Amino acid sequence: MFYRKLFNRNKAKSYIWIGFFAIIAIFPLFAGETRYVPLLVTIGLNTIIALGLVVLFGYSGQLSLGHATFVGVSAYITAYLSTALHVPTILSLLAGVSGALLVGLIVSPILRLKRFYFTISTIALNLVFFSLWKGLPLTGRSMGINGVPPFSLGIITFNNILDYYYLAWALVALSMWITGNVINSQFGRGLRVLSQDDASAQVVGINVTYSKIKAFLFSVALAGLSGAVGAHYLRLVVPDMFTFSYSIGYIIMAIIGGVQSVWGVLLGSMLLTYITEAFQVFVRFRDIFYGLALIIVLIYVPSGLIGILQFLPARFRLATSTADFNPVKEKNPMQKESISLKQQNNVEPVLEVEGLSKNFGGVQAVSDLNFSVRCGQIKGILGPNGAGKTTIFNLISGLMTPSRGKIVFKGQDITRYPPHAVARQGIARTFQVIRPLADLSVFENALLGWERWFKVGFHDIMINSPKIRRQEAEARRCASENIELVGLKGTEAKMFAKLPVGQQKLNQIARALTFDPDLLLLDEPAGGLNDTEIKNLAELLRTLVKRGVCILLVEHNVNLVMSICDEILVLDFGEKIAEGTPKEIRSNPKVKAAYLGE
Amino acid sequence: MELLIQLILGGISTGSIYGLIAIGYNVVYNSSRMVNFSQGEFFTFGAMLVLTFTGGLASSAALAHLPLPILPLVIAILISVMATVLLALAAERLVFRRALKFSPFAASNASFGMIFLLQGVYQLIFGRDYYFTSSFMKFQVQFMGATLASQAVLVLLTAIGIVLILWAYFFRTSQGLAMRAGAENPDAARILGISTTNLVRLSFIIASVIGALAGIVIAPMVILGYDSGLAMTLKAFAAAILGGLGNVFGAMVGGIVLGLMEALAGGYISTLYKDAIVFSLLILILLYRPTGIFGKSA
Amino acid sequence: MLEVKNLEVCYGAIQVLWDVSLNIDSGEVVALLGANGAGKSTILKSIIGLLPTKSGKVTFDGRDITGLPAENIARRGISLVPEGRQLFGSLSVLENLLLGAYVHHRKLDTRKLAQDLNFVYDLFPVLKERSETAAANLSGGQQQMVAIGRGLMSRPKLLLLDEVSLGLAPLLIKEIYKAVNYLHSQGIPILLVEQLANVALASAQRAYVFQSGKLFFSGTACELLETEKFTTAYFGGR
Repeated sequence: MFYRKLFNRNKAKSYIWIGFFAIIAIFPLFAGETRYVPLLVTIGLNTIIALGLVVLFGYSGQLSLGHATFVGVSAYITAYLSTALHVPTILSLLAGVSGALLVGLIVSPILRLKRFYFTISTIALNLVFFSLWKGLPLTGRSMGINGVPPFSLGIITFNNILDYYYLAWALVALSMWITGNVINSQFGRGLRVLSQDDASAQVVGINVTYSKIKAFLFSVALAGLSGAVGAHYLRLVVPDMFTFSYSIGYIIMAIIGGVQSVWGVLLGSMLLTYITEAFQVFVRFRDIFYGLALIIVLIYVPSGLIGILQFLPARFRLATSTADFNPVKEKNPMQKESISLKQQNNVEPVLEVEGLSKNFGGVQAVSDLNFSVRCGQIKGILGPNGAGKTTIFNLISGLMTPSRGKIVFKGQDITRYPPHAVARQGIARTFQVIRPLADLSVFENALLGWERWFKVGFHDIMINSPKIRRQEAEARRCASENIELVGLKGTEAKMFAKLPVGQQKLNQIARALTFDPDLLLLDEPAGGLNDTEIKNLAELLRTLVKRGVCILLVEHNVNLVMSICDEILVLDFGEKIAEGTPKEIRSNPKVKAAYLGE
Repeated sequence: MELLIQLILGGISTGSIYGLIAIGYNVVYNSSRMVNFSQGEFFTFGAMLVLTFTGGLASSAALAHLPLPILPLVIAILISVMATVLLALAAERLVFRRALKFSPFAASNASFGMIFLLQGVYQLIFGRDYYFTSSFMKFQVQFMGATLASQAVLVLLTAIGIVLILWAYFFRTSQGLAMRAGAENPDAARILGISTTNLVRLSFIIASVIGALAGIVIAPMVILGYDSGLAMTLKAFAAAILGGLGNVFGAMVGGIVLGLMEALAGGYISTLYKDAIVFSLLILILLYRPTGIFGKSA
Repeated sequence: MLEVKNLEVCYGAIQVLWDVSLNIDSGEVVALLGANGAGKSTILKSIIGLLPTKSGKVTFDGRDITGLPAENIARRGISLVPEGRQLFGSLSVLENLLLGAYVHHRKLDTRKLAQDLNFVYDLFPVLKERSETAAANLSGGQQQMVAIGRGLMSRPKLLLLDEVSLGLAPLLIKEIYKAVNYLHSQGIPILLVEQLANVALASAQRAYVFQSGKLFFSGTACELLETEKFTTAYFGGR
């Protein structure tokens, strides 16, 4: 039943693609010379820009109010090169897009800034370029550049409005396809995670900075493409075409339509561009309409107008995000090149912690701690609230830097590694307090762990190459297995955020397993589980150890720790007060005092 | 030398207006964690209303056709400020309170919608004309060889007055104390009996009073129109960030720094590239001190 | 005076409390005990209105206060000293204390205010010396004193203490509980959540022990100290 539905739904999706672009293709036959053809060219050009914002804003969560900058940079470059220097338009167009990318790369440090700080710098960027264009003789000041030659590809010259119509919509189709590939890839899932929580992304090995830059440059490239084509289409470039108001306009298109969906932004750009034109007659109401539309959408339909379609039966929907669960039935023979410590059954310590200390402004959270974890071992860490247990995990996984001390993993000093690099060495972790991953499904969350094994370039992602499909299939197989292993089979398509906390923790474990770690850090995995689930968890952990994963476990369910750990470390006030086998710990008076008070 | 002093004085007086609007940003931010980008629209509303009540509106504007009495300046100012407060309260009640239920981020986005909505309304009621209005009083002040126009003096006095009143409010009244507490830890404030919804409403009242007054006093020094607020919104936001988002009085310093940068860039380099220079500097400052001049470095 | 009946609480879709009933009479000190994650703090948070309840009823002084917003409940005389202290770090000790009396700011009586301040300063003399210091610059123990002092400034009819010993050294814990005993002798009813059972039971007359969001058992302090069941709730039995 489920598979059947899925089949229908995918089919429905391709019908919509074909149907929509067929209508676009034959539309000029009916519309002829009406104003709808130029209107649709503008819509197409706007859509391309807004698609970039799906990736940048909808997925990586960076609100840019300065994207007209990149539209303009590209437009000015292609206009100048083709007009003043008579460079062939295809070359000047490429130079335009490259120029926009170059500017994007130069200003990419602003991606380090968070939220409003990033937004204000994009606005500032827009204003800087606007006043440069208005001031520099090279860009023709307020008059801009006139007489830009029409676009031509070798002998074919795009003179006619219809030429641009087809050019623009071919580019829209291409951009929609590429954008769809990008957001549905592992890269897109990674962006959704880092937009909500850096740490969750980092601990599966995602380099947050690089991912943000990639998303940003992707949106810049699309803006540049649209700008360059627009320059040849309009045959002129003036500063007023790239003001801050346009930047806001693109964002509003995306938000109104649905900023996480390629069809959403298409809808948004159609609606807004049409209204802009239609309201030219009584221009006075246009701004009021823009404003009201944005406010109403934000308050009543936060997922955009495309979100309204969610009320339709599933098979008519255009998924806003791809929470689709595509199980892969046959096993893929391709194996990842895992340097498996696990086969060697040695007793060497995998993790060694020496003299580890951390102070927070005078408070000693962890002080001079020594311990090690050996292969095939479950080590438990106990201690009252505030004893520094989670801090130890944060120090190991690189989310915090130790004040003193050394952390050695598989013979390598990882003390000062950034979190994603620590993860890539083979350390996975779960969190005690569930991080907000609002819109990921159980299955997608488990898939995220595959990040460690994904070895593809951005071009593979964009065209959804066979290589990436192979890896994705392998990832899906692995994720399905792990979901089954932790006992979440059947919940794959559910949203992570809607699960009970116990299942969220199991989902985190599944993610960590897809990562296939050498060392697994589990922070309070039993919190929120009922007795049966705890029993299953204990069973699961034993299975993992048999497979050769080493586990470091922070848990306040003392029962669980006592029953499955080989060794236990007890902390109080950041100091080790006892270490030994469960039996030794149980009879230690210091431990009892720390837990119950004297 | 005289040019320098002239520029500095000019920079300080425009900068203090950026600072005032930026204070409005911060007061609202502190109570709700949203950035109200439509803050500059309170500015326009106040200024345009005074223009309306003093009979300066062009006949193309809808409001010019209403039989409004021409009022003395002081009364016009009072009424305009009160009307702006009503506008802010309506915006808070009808839009921002609802959006805040989702998140401060959604509310900040909704405030972009508010910019368009209000500018659209202003076009209808105030028309699309631009105005050069006359100063409130005619006198000049000489200072170290530089001349300070009467309106610039009024601007400075207003800014100083508002800052002093705000300081007294925040540091000398129990409600001000509650505002500061709510800014720091809303949940802790609630268990002490402080209603955070009330704090948000109060912050909008404060922000709109400041915004309207700033618009009214600076109006004679700028070209006034239905869309004047947007430029203010941007520059004041830059000022708020420079001073550190949430740092109420830091915003005034941020505003003055921005005003000075602008005046000096305009005076010594080129008015043409004034914005380019100011905003490039802003980006650089953000990169090196992302939490503002007074914030901890990253 | 406070009665909680069949309380159930959810965080989003996740239920964390099941069918919890308890009560506290005037003049009593009652402890809520249990391991980390047992749901003790959740009970306090839902009593005070910081968390919405799924079902159940909370009555205070004979009036139903279920579902009222936190600020209204505070005005009715329940004062919470929250977990992790939740002070206003940049504000001075004095300002933090004054905010504790905010519920009375409309009919402010400066003489009463001075009296209450002195009461707190007598309880924790070190706060008087440091009254102008920003709360963030105090040590953990002093911060806890400010938090309790702030809770007292509203002249509460009922005081809720959430994990006041958390992260404090044993000596400081003793000092804090000395204050708790004093407040008890002044007739202020106290409902306290505590991880260190022995410490709490030295001050409380009765206690409720929780495990995984459910009431495990309850009884007087003496009864509890003797039961084997009690260690079980923490360490698990064998």
